[in-house]
Amino acid sequence: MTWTRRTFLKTLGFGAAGAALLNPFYRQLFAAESTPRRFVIFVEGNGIEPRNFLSGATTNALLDAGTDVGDIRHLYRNYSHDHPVVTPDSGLADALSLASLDSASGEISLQDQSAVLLGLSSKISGGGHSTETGALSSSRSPAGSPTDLTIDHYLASLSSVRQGAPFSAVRLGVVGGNTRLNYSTCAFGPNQPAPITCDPTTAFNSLFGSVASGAGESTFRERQELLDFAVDDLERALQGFSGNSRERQKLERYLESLENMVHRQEIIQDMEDLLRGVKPQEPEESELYRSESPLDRLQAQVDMATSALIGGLTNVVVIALGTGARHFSLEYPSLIDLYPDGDMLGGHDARHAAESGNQAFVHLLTAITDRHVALMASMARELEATPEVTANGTMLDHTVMLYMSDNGEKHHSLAEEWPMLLMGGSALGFKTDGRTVVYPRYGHDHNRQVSNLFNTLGHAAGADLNDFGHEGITRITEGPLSEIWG
Amino acid sequence: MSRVLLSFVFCFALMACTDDGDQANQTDPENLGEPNTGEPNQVPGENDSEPQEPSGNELDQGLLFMCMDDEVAFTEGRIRRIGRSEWTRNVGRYAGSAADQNPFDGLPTHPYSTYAENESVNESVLDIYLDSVASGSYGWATRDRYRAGALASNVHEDSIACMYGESRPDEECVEHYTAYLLERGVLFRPPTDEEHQALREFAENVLDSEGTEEDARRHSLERIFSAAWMTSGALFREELGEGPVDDYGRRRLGDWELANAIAYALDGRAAGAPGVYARWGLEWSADYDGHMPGLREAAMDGTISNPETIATLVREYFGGVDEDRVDLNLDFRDERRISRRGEFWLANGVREFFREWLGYDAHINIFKDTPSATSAFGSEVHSDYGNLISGYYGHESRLVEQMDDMIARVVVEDIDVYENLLTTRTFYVPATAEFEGSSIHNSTLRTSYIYNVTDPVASTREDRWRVLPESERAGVLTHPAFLASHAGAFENDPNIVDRGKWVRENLLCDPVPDLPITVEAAFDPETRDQSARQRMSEQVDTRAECAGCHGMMNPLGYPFEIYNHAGFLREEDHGSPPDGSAYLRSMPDPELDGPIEDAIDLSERLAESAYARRCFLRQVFRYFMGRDEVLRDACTLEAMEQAYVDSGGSLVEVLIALFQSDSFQFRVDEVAR
Repeated sequence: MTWTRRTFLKTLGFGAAGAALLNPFYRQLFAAESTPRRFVIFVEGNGIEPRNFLSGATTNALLDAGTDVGDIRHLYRNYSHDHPVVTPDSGLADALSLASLDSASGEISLQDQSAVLLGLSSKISGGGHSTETGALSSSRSPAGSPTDLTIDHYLASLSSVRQGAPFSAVRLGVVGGNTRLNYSTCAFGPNQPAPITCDPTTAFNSLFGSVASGAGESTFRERQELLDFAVDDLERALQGFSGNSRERQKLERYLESLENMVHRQEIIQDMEDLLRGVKPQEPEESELYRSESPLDRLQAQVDMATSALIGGLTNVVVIALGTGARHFSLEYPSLIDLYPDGDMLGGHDARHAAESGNQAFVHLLTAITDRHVALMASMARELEATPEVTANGTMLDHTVMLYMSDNGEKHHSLAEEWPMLLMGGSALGFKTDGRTVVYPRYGHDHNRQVSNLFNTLGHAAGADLNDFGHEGITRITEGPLSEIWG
Repeated sequence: MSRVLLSFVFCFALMACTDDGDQANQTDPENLGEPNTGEPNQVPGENDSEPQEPSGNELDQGLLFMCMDDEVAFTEGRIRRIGRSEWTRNVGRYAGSAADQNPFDGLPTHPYSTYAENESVNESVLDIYLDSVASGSYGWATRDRYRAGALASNVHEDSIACMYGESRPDEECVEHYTAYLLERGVLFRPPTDEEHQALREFAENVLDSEGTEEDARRHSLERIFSAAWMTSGALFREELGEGPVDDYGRRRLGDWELANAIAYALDGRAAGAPGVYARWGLEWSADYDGHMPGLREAAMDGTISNPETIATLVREYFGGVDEDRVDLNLDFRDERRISRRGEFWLANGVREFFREWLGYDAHINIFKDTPSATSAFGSEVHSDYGNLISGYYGHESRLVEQMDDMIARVVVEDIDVYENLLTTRTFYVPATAEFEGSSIHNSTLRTSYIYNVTDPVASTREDRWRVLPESERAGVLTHPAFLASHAGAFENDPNIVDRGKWVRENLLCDPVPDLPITVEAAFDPETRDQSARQRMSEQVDTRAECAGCHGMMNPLGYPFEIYNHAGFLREEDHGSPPDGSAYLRSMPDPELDGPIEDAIDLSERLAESAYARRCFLRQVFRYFMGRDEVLRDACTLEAMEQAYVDSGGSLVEVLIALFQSDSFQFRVDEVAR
């Protein structure tokens, strides 16, 4: 059975109208007056080939507008149109990496709840192997040194988005090796990288440890004990503190943070019944958590994030797929048949090979993006199958999902084209109706930038966000993209 | 007129010419009335509206170096939240490791990372810290002396071995281990009874609930380490003063407070912070007694209160020459990067001071369009330029490290440091010769071109040290790392303003009013094909309403127009020869007034300016004191200047004077505002 929040409430004996009888947290969660606004950002490391998102109908529409993309992979070099080319009902599923949008296997079709944007630039971010946090902050941000906050944190900080959820954002991902936390993609602010949890077990323990039956439960309990110990220490320190009031305030601020964290733990415990209903498989129950295949681990992370959204743990999710200059070189054993002669090659080498035109590796990269998009589609379908409690429509209608790369269009990116796939969000104003929009190329007055898409997300979140990032005088124009929102 | 009154008159004059318009940042959720967690460390609110004591560039420099007999110096008692690198070093982990991703960066609004005001631990910081605190535990959760990351103060201490066996440690063992961990691995001072008791009880509970899985003990030790590093004593270092109050209401820092204050200022880590076994083939970063063991011993036996002890230890730990550069063992994972660095080393705090004062690592965050524009080179150097910033290909140093090495040489030589910083022609350039014909030659063969060094540079320290032509470079202000850090994306951006403002504020300690909110400061985009000099002189200099502020900056920025935005020497400038000429008027130091030929001429003139040298000393004070200077610090600043002059320009002696001063050593509860 597909679990829904509505069926959960029904199970508990409440209809939607009975939400007022719930405890304070559930009231806040389910009876909020605000429109639910959720944001999910999938970020693929080291480039998305624009052709992977290009449908046949869009190719024809571009021809009519004077652009013949021919056979080249890096489309922007051939863009010669002067205005955005909008192709309604662009048949997205026939693009190389978008087949999973179709209903071929009897699933819900997402073609008319998606949209593709091509031609957006983000030169400020620098390109290369990875722009690190620059991709989501429209800034030049080398590894370990975010220049500013990223869009996910901006959105997560808005009360119109968070609406009382215990976690302002959930950031999950996969990388090669044993790296548990990836600091390459998100940032709270200048020099404040925000970690992405790369170990699915750690993520599970943090989000669902309170209702886990295995090691997750002990991890959750140990964190509580750690917090309790620190609270006791701070209370003791404040009792004996001899400094002035300004210095005392530093300790009080820390204590307040600890107490808020304890409170979050309590909220999560209060959500026990709800979380039990949405909890994904536990680490001990699923091989996905420990799989050698990054696609399996990613599946576990996506399932976890979906459950977190449906369970009301958060309204902002980032899923990072091998992002950051140190982390994109993944191997894909589950795609071994696509490697020439079945010989696995390191991700970096494979991408180099594709860059130099080796078609086998070009197909491999297409397949990788295809599998990632399929996982995003699986999340979208779960959300589409889950009705909102306090608003009309489904959760997908109130959730905009974005798929983008962390450096632009290719392995050694020039950051001149950033292919984007959007799903859902129709109730938030997004024209995700199957269209494709192709903007004029970088350098043209009518080119638009990734920061404009972030402006669009900001507006959808209820904020008047017309500027974002560090483009300064290289900013072409401010504000949201009318071709996709409004 | 009294000194205090004089300073207020100065402040009012400043306010009159400053349009106090904070630039609204539209990306800041706070502007939307939403909670802002974008600045994670700040204590909110109350300090913002408090009247502040005049300090820093607000003050008249002449008064700041005029010590009065009845002047009493002190600093307000404070607690200082640990910094990001400090935490990494104290737990014995590597730069760039997971532990180094801890969330303890300083507030970006602080002029130096050592400033402690308003810094605490808010929820965003705590959220990250909870996920990462255990990442620092390796050296205390394990005890394998031959594994990278082992700590000398752990593996060479037999009395704590009982915690690492298979059996349940007894009470005596737990009591001893927790005391040892707190003193040698967390607090870097003896714990109080309460601190020890609390951790001991926590440790007992952890051990009681320990499982039977293979790594159960290691997990228990991680939990104990994490708990210890969650405490206020671990994250906040006290400088409140101890002992009796003197006639002026002051307390002298306690021995441990003083030893650690010096240790953190000098080396960015605690006194006795653990030595680490980095990896096979490298030496331990320090032995059993840890880093700066003399400071720890002096705290234990009380000799830290002796000025001569301080002088001796500062001279020992300040910097020096080391062919092996052991100081870098925890900074780089690949020793080939260490062997390619210069042989002069500086303590972390000293190195960081220069990075922060000169701001020369900022260029790594600044996009450079066509780095070679207007230089003698073309696009063939662009990949090399990218590699100078990232260091991705090969193992040569990056631009920022080349400037570190150049500065280290001047500072370690310790003669006329200020003057030589501004005039040295000895630059450390990257080697290129070995990359001829290599697979990465596109990104490595021309990395030295940015210094106009086009002959092959051999992979030896001797050949990397190059004396550049007198007509091309002179000191830190002409180093490519500095030039690129104080410039925008394009060669004809208003880099004149960036660089001139920096000189005005950081070498002349003269404040430039904030940009009025009503002014959209940008060149006309239709003039993109003009030189920056033409754009500035025609669009800004001719407008009377701009002259007030730009007159303070532009004449100090024009001289740098002989270089482009990336730090290359210009060969031409939009069809004309490069022009760095300027005329300085009404400078804070009248000796500087007059025509200037270019940045080299300006650097040499600044080097001769005793006024600018005082500003340098004020910057030293700020970084190593962790706060702005105020009028009551005049005797300290005067002593620092005297030490500099008497010693023939020694920065070591300047720091000794500062660490021995009342400003550094005495605290009062609260300064009246």
